[in-house]
Amino acid sequence: MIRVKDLSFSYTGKPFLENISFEVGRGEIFGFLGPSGAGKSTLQKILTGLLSDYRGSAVVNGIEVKRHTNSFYENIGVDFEFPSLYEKLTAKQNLEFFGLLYQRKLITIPDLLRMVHLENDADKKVSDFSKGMKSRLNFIKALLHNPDILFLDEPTSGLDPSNSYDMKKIIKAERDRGKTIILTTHNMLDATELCDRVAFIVDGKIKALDTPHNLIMSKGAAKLCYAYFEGREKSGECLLSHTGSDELLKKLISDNKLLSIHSSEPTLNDIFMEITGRALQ
Amino acid sequence: MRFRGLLLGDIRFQFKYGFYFLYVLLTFVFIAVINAVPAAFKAKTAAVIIFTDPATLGIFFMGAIILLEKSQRVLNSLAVSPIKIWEYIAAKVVSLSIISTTVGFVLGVAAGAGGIASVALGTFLGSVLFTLLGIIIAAQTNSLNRFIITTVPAMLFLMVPPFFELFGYDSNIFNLYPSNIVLRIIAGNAENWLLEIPAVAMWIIFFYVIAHGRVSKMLRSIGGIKL
Repeated sequence: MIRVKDLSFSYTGKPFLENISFEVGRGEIFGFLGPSGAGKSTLQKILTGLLSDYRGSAVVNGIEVKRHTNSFYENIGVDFEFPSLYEKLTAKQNLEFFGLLYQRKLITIPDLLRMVHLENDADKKVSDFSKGMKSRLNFIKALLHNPDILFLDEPTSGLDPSNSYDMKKIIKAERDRGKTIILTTHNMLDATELCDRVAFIVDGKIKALDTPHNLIMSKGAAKLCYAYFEGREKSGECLLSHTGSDELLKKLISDNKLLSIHSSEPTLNDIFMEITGRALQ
Repeated sequence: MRFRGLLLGDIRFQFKYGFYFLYVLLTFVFIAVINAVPAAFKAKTAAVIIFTDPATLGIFFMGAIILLEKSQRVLNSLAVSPIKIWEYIAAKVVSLSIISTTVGFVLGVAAGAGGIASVALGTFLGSVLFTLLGIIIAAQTNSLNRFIITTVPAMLFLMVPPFFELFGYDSNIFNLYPSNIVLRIIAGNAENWLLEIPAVAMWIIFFYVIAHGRVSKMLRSIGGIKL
């Protein structure tokens, strides 16, 4: 669905994105992760046709993006980080308006509102919505024309834990229906939970690209951490793969002196920092 | 279908933001003013009111509409939708022309103007011209202050020459000047239709081409490039 090869882009003559290459298939959630200013949003703008003077190739849904026509957007849904809604119109009126811009068969408005628990707020003005309600309405606006490709920018931003959980369930369900989803986020937990693959983007380059699991397992081995008492509470740790050779641990186990013991895997954030030398949040 | 959607959206937007209510009130005020002047001056007074208000309202309303669309980030969603730039511009021009032409028509009737079709046509052409000018200015500004500052010279440029002509200063220089033609048509003074209508049409095409370029840049600037 998306094929990017040797993509470079510059705002000022100085390279901003350099030699980006990746592919995203149907029914896949692909995450762009990186600190602010790394180039994630620029990459998304290129893929959505908002920036066209790039070098290399960016093919979305079989179309080289710089040569897209307006019908290109019939098959793309974009959920911006900040709501883009008419504040004086109601939720229903907003969806009706944006629905009229597409030729494709639309998902019905009551179904969409129900999906994000806004069915009782259909006739409420958007200006009276909370931040989370606006985020949810903005999200379903991107689904309205049932596009095959979704671009989601921080989709859980501003949502409470319950709505965030529901939103992630919807995103996974859309993936399972065959949609290709590009997720741009700072949130490593969301990325780990949602993405089939992620690309770490720093200074306009892809520093790593793999599944979250592979990234975690390849770069950081799981550790075993334990605590014991010896005059005062002390702690120790060893690699999970070297448990049998930790003499202190073996002795503590045989003497029943352990106070606590648990395994500790690195997080995607740890891996990001290890690979890129940069903090994400 | 898409143009219809945009047009209905613009009309709904203008209704919600009180544009229609405002113009119902203003129409009553204008009618009261026209009725207050002596009969001999009614037609001229109506022409001045129509030219300075309903025919030119597009420039200010366009500023308000586009700046609101920018502040509410609606343009982001429009930029990644299948709409075409001409559809975006045409919806705004047509929706505001409906208000302008209706008000111009009502005021023309209230003043007992002879050529009411001419009043309506002049108001419509003025509305199209000034709405396009409003789009040109609003598309490249991001604040109300800047919009107003940019509008003043543009308005002076377009509004002063017609008044010279209306009040007797006769010069051939402004024969084909767009706002002069518009006021002439509204006031029922147009004499050379075969020249004036094509001339104003050319001005409209000229303004449209510039507006198209400005809107295109505005939507591209959403993509991060400030041109």
